[in-house]
This record gives sequence, structure tokens and C-alpha cells, in this order.
Amino acid sequence: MKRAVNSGPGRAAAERRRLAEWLAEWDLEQRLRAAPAELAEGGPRPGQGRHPSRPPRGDVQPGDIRLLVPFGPDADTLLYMAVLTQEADGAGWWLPFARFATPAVPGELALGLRVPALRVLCLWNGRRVAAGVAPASWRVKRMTPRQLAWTVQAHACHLAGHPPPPELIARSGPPLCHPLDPRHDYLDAERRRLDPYFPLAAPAANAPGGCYPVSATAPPERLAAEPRISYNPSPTPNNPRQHRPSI
Amino acid sequence: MTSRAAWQAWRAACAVDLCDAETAAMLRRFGAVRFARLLERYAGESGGLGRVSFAVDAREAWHLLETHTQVGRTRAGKRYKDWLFARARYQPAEWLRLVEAGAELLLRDAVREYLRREHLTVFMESLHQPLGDAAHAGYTLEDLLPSPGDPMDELAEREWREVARREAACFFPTLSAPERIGLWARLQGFNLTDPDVAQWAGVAKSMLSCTHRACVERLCRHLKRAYPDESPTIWRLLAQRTLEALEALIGAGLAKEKRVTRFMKKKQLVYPVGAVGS
Repeated sequence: MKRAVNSGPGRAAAERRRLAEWLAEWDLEQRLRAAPAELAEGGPRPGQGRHPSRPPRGDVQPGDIRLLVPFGPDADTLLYMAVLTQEADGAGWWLPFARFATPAVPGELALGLRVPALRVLCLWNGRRVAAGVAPASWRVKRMTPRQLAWTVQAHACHLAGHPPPPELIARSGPPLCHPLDPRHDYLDAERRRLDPYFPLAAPAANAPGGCYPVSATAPPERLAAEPRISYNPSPTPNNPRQHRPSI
Repeated sequence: MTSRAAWQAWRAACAVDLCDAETAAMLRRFGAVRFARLLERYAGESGGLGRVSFAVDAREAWHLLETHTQVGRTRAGKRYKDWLFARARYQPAEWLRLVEAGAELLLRDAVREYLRREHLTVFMESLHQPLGDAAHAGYTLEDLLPSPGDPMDELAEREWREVARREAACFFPTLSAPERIGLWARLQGFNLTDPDVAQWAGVAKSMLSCTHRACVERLCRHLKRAYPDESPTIWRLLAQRTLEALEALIGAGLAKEKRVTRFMKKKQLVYPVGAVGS
């Protein structure tokens, strides 16, 4: 029997597994990241350096996967981004790919690509880029129409603050609940990673990570054992007040 | 360790295997040294894993770099080389050093992926194992995961159990002996048509089932009157909890029931723990 992973114990086990995998990879990253002197360079700040002489190639199109030209010698990771949309005014949404193999938070989506650099897309860290100010980049790949539609749908849900469609929940990261979860550090680091490339485009307003409730259909809040408000508060023979619980 | 010409030849040739032997050996040696340095850093930081052998030869180290970093076999998929060179153009006087540093940064990602695939045992991760990160050492995986249910549900459950206990205490004195025996027997899993149970209750076995059903219906009507604003789900939950509480009350006074000893002997039972006479 196919195990249900979008509900109940199956989903909890899947979330536990994804969180354990992500934490393990995060731990690897921290242990490897003690930067020796030759890797940390003090160079021109973003916007002040001279761009490489070879210009980026081709027009930017929705569905592009692009590698951003490094902003300076301080750039320490490859930054791949997916271009989702191109609106009438030329603006578009650019979404970065994560560095890790497992989605960290519900706002990250595992696309199912086998290429290590393109496994997980960060919906939460997308930047809306106005026409003419897109960062210099090289096109490296194109998303298939199905991948693009999938991603656009998931991104729209994220912007609206809704949980992703059920078929995408299994591809998202576990909820972010604890205030001291290491994933908060990760989210901060990822925001900083993009800021030099998008100085005028802030991330989307809704919170990343744990913006989805634990239950996809969270019931409205109710106080424990408290009766609903009655339009007839006066006690009647059929409504003996003495049996009403009190908190 | 390397030369500008070697890097440029590698960029033009797409892969190190397509370079001349000297260039290939130079770049592979560079990759192997840096790869080993990163593994030593990890092994040192990870403590007990220091003794694990990370046997990766020069050819394999560079191959890991190329396969991990490219996104396709076309030239477009190998733009990471353009990235390496673009990064170094900001300081032409430091070109070689910046390219080597950039390559080591890419190698670090490849090493992380290699360790993740080959040396992590996530399937043995314990919920109660402290997190490896020193900054979060006081926390476990279980701390970070959402609880299986809404904490408000747990609080509500406790509240409803307390309500059920009070209701059971009020309802218990209204029960007749056949009703008490029928409730207790059903909750213990006995068949109400069992002649021994009927004999104990002092009624015909056909009557015991009716008596039991009427008793449960009376309880449900009472709960609906007492909590008219609740949903059918809540009524059902409250009825279940109240019956459980009644079972405990009946069990506590079981020894006072007539003919109980005979029944217990026939069924080879012992008095419930906490029952008078146990």
C-alpha cells in the first residue's frame, strides 16, 4: 500500500527525515567553512568594482536558469537563479537556488533535478527585478515548461501566504518552529548572499520558512473546553450552568 | 603550484582529461592537495571521524570538482569557469591567486557533497541526539520539530477529561446495578449476551443489552442538554471520556456488587487494581 506522506504519521516522519538531512549538511558546511586567509579577500565593494569585460549573453527569458556574474572577488559561491516571469513592464521574479541538497523550510522546493547546484529552489528569497536592472548573468540552462509551471504555481502560493499544493508539500522543507533553530542563521546568510546582486530589490514581504501552519488546514483558534458564545446567556432548565466547564 | 597558462588551457579544453599531460597533472595535483586539506579540516572538526580513511586520489578529486560544479555537458553548463575567471578580473595583479582561491571554494562544495553522500548516517539520527552545531548544542532534533498535534489540542484534551470526570461523578449515583454491570462488562470487552454476565447482573441476557443501550443513550442525552452549543464531534468525544471515567468508578467499587465473586471465579479474573477488595 502506498504510504501517504502528505498527512499524519507519514508526513511527520518525512519532515523529521528532511530536517535531519538538512541539519547534517549544515553541520558539514560549518565545519568546512573555517576560511583560510587566501580565501577571504578584501576587494571592491558591490557596485564599485569593474565588471568583467565579457558581457552576459542573450536576453533574459522566463524559464531561464542563469549564473550570476560575481559581484567582486568576495563572491564565495556560485549563484544560480531561475527567472520565473517577465511582466508587461519588463520586471520579473528571480529565484535563487539553494546550496544544499534538502529543502530547509516550507518556502524551499526540491525540483527533482539531479544537477547538484539546481536541486532546491528558494521561493522565499525571490527578488522582483525591474526592467533594465537585472544583474549580469550567463544563461546555463532552461527549465522545461512543466518545471516552470510548477514553480510559478508554488511561488504564487508562497506570495499569497498559502500552503503549497498537496503534491508539492512532500517537496518542501519542514516547518520552522523553534526560535533557536539553526535554519534562522541559514536564512540570514542566504539573504546576505543575494543582497550585493540586488541592492534595490528586497525579498518578498511575507516571512520565509515557517509561514505555513503545521496543519495544512489549521482549525480556527479556540480556547480549551470553552463553550461557544450563546445568544441566550440566561440559564434555562435545559441549559444548567452548573455543568459548564470553566478555565 | 599552478600557472595561468594551465588554467586557461583547462578552460579552453572543457575538461582536464582533454588537456595535455603536464597541465592535467598540475591541476589534478592542485585539486588533490586542496581536497585533502578540506577533508583534514572536516576530520579535525568532527573529532571521532578523524580516523576514517578518506582515500581520494588526485584524479578523483578533480573529477569531483568538475562533475559537482557543472550543470550540463555543453559549454553553457560549464559557465562556472567563466565565473572563476570573472572573479579574478577585479584584481588582475592577483589573478592566479584569486583563481586558485575560487577553485578551492568550488572544491569545498564538492567535498561537502562527497561527505554528505559517502559518510553521513542520517538514517540513524536520533530524535534525542544533541545538535552538532556548538551554538545550538543544548537542543535536539525533537526540539526543532513541530509537535505531532497542536498544543492547544493537548490542553483541550486535558480539559475535556476533567469535564468527563465531573460528569461521571454526577451520573454514577443514578445508575442501577444492571446498568453498572453492563457498562463495566462492555468496557472490559465482555459480550453482554454472555450468560455469566447476565447472571451476575440479575437480568435476562436479552435484557442486559437493552439496559446497557438505554443507559448509554441516557448519558448522551444528558451531555447534549448540558452542552447544547457543542458539535456532535465534541458530544461523541465527551461521551467516550465519560464512559471511561465511569468504568474507573465502577471498577473501584466492584467488590460491593452482588454475585461479583462468583463471576470473578467463573471468569478467573482478579479485581481491578484500586478496586475495594483487591
